[in-house]
Amino acid sequence: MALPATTHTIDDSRVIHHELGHWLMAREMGFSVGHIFIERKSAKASGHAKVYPRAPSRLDKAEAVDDYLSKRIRVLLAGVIVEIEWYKKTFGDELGKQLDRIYENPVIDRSGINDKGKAEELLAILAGIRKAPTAQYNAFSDQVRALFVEIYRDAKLLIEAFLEKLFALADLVANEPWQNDTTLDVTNRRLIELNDVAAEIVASKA
Amino acid sequence: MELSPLPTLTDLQQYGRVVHHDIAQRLMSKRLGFETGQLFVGALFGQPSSLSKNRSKAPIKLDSSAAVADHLRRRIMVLCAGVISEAQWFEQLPGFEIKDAHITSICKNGVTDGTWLTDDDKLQELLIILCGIEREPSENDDFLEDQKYEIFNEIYQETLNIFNEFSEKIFILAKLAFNESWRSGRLIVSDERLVSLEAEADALSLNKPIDA
Repeated sequence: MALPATTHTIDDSRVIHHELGHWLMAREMGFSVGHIFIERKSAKASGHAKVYPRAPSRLDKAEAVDDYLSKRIRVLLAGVIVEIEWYKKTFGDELGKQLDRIYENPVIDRSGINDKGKAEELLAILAGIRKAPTAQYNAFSDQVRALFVEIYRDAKLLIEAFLEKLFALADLVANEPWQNDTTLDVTNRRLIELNDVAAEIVASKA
Repeated sequence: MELSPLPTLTDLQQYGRVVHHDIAQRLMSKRLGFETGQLFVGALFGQPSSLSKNRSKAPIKLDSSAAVADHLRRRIMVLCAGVISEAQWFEQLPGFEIKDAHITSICKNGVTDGTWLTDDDKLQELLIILCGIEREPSENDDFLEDQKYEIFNEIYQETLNIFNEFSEKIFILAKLAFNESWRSGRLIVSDERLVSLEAEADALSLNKPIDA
């Protein structure tokens, strides 16, 4: 399925939403975060949210590793989940529903492919912790996929709780001054300030 | 003295590099008890890439942090084998002298897989978990990077010792695999066929006649 074409400004907005998905979910999961960086290149935007995944305490039990992995995978998937919410907001709910189904199989496009690859590397370990070993490769793939869908849906529920604030924050970030024609770099300190403003905007609407 | 950049490669060379990389990871996977599958090389976003599936399945249930750590160390060794094989592959390019400092560049510009990730991208994720199991946690990010680097070096050296046992075989087997049939710019060699090519490679490396 072809995705709708996006212009420069709209594509900037898509990537800002994606990166803020990682940034806010990382904070929810207790990871340190840094700046977000958006770059326009070859008529498309790309971006990066600095996240510092780290075990909060010694991972001395399989359950502690499981908990870390689940948190890290939620952060990785949050970018695409928020991006799909952005597609729904921008192009309509029906497209978003289709994208949810598509993402649970392969990925929607190149933007989320890295995140999904990292998640799959970690899901293979999580399958080893949670599931009984299987000699069949296909059965293992099914285990990994089932865990992927479970954590994807779990992350989606968490995102619903801060999605309105994220949309407000994305608008504020989009209005920040760009360093030049191709680069927007917003520091962590500024993002925290804008996050507080976004929370106030949402509270005032309630 | 300034480090020379890695040579610019033709597409043909890039495909050779990917095959070499995947064969090295196959042999290391087998040596460490992981399952192996077909070799699949093709282009992703126009770049020669390794499209073989991730088969890093744990052979036993990972029911303790020690079991997870053991599994992670073996998986990291397979990924390190990919990095070492690339250094080895660059080393045989005429007119290029590889230095230790090139390893970082090879890590950052390594062969990409079907999700556009290099071995280094995956190593970085896995090393964080291993640090969490084997080292005291720290709020300081630089300290975590030091811990990761220390563990990486230890595992890299361990991998190198095993790798040297079959480094000659990698070149022979990679050449045999590369010469299999390509279709529409893709090379797919089944696991069964690779087993038979491995026997051929063993025979060739020992200069023994191949059984009919």
